[in-house]
Amino acid sequence: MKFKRLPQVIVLATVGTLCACNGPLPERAAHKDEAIYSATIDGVKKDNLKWADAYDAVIAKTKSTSGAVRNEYLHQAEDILMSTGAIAPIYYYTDIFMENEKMEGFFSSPLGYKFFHRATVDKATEYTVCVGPKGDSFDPAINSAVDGAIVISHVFEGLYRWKQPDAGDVAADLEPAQAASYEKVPGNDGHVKYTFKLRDGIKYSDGTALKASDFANSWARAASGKLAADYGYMFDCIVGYEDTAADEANFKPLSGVKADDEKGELEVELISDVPYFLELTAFPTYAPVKLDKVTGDDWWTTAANYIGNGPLKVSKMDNKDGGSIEFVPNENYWDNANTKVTKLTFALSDDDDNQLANYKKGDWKFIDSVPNDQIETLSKGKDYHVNGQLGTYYVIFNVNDKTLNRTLKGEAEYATFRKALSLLIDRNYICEKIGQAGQEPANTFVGKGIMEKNADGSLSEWTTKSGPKRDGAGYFKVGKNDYEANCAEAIEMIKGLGFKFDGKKFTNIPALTYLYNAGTGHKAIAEYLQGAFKAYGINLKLESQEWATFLNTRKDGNYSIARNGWLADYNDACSFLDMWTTDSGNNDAQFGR
Amino acid sequence: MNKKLGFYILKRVLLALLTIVIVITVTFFAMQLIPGGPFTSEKAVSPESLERLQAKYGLDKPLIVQYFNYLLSALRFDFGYSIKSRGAVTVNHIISEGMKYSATIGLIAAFIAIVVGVILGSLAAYKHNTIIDRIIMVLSTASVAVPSFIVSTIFLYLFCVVWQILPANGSDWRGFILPTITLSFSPMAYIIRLTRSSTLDVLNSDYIRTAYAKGASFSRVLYKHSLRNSLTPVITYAGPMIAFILTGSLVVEKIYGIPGIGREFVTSITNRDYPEVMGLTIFLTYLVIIMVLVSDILYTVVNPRVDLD
Repeated sequence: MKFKRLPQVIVLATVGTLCACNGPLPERAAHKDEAIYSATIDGVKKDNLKWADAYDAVIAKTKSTSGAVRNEYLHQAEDILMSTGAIAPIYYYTDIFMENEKMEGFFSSPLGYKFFHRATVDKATEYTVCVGPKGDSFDPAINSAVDGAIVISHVFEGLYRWKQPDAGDVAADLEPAQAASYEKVPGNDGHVKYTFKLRDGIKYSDGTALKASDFANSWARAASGKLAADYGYMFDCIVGYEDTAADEANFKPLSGVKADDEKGELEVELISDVPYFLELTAFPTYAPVKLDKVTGDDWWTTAANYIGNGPLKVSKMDNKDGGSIEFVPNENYWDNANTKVTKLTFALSDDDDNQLANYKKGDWKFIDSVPNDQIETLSKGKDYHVNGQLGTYYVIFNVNDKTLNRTLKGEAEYATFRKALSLLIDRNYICEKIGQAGQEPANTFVGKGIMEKNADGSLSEWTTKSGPKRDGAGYFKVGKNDYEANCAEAIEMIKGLGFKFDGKKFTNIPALTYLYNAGTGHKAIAEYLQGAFKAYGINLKLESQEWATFLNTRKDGNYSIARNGWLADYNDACSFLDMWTTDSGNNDAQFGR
Repeated sequence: MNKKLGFYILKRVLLALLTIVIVITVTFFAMQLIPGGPFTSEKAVSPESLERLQAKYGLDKPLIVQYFNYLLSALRFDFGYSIKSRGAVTVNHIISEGMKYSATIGLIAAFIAIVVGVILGSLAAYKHNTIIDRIIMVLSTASVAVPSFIVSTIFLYLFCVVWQILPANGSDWRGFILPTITLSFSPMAYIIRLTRSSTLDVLNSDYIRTAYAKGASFSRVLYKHSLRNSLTPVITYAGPMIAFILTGSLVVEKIYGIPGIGREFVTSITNRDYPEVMGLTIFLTYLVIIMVLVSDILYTVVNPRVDLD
């Protein structure tokens, strides 16, 4: 009878022996406590700082300074970020679309919002285009998708708007729209006050007058805690935002916004001289919604009730994939002289192949996405367009990951290892052979096309001033001929950390896992990374998850290495850098946690 | 007889109710187990906003309370608002709008599948072991083996882009031709095989030989004797098949640009749109229950030897 227990005894003995052979794992503090960051605040340089003391402090300075001083703090923030090695940018996003060769007058904003109201196709003013699938919401306050933003950008207009460019199809400047002009004066404590003078006689599409209080009330609604809109934070530069966002019962007016309907003036007080504020007034969330039309959550779902103040109005709303939305000119719009289209139809489709079939057939004159496997063939045509997009595709490392705990000691060693892995990636190969959409290799996190204002008022591209020396060199070399040297340097870096190298490969690096969301492009890049690392003996296991599950896993920090991507909300570097502060909900790398 | 029928219907209704309650319960708790929620997005929502949104849609109440609230409203056919649209659209509206297209295409596809399937299956059985039989079997196997997205894309390319004879979206009735044909392939193939094997069984039975011996013509044998018997497995299969085909196919609707309900089944899960997921699942369950009941009754009509019970 005593032999009944034998199997259990054997198992326990085996497990115990194995444990004893490997030795107990060393006690390690999480490396967030072992800080290595340096920061220069108000001219004083400090070393050996924790993340919150360095990065959070620098970002806080960007909120209270302006001009060249602010730019330098932003660049310093990127220095600190890239010094961790936890962000390995791969390429800058591009926006591909097919535009009928005979289309004239089309243009887009730097964020990729497309404008058709001034476009004709072979002189025809009635035509169909496709900019994406059905919209989740066309309420300017609630929408957070690009295709919804495109609909809103035709039906509504803000204080300022993007100016149709003279050359090319990407707008670069803003011009007065619902406001005829503005004045800016400095206030107390670094505040600034904008006073917008509204144009005379502006109206909604139903003929009612548009007043300054319509702007004030719309903004209060969009920023309010009651609505809890995804883009509510776009108002955080306005004085009074904190109180409005905290109010869950009412649309509390922003204390920094004062509307004078008689004079037709809107006064806005900002907490600092935010350089991109005019651009925000052109952003869909800032559109003046006619609040007496907002009778319920479904107010925007019928053409009759969806009243705006933009160049077009909706004449037929069939918002589903396979359906369409029809627009006709808004006869009460102030700038109708420039509107060319007489009937614009947005066909709605969520399938690349279906869009391409309709485009090739000639029924649709513009499509905004192209099947990946068709890019090579289509890119030879004259109707194939590639524009830059303000965004970066990157690989992200979880700074709290403990996989390499046995060998690496301290945050500095981890940073070196991550940077070495980043150097082993051939970005040119990924752009040319996998992405194939005209992407450029990235050596900064802030995207290409982000601008910064110089002391003399001129604008420079951020990437021309990137890097520790502010010379545009970025944080590592990405030229076509730099890959070999990068690999050699990476090998030296990893050898220096104590891993064994047999002349060709490393032999004792524990396997790491790369997490990505299901999708053919992401899978191809994942497989490339696996192959590239394997050549040097670094085993990368691949794991894919469904989208929402993946987002959750990444946000919770339950990964070692993952893919990531970020698109800017407005053309300023802080749109890329604010997200890494300790408390940010987008801090997937878990800095400071 | 009426009393018996009455008891039978009562029993079926009670079983149906039990099925629906089980489906609601399993789906509800399964959705809660999946990571992520309706407000999970790439650009994170602030914790305060998240709290507010969850309160707005009743997601902050204890799970059991949410479950019972949902159970009671679902049994009244009130499936609530779609969270993804932030309350702008009701789930009932999504279902009714989508079903207009999916049901039309589904019914036509089911009709094609059944009619053509039975004809070809019977033909294959009568011409058993001839070249006709072999061709039919090869074609039906091939049409099941090739995935629907490949067939759809090829059709789309040929008919809409190369030959340009049909539109590539659901704007008019001609846009429905390709989806109905594509959707009918898989059930048609199955019906061909079912019909063929059951007809073969029937043709070898004694009473058929007796009918021929008594001088019955081929068509009399076919209609009066064999068809009714060989169709019983087809009826059993067709009931649930119609329920599933009516609710559309994600692949077919996506590629042909049909605003049906098929894609909603998948996108609602990706979006973690709990009310929509529950609503769609329950709707499908109702459909399947009804169609199974219909096919059971039809079964007894076609084959009076079988008792309802």
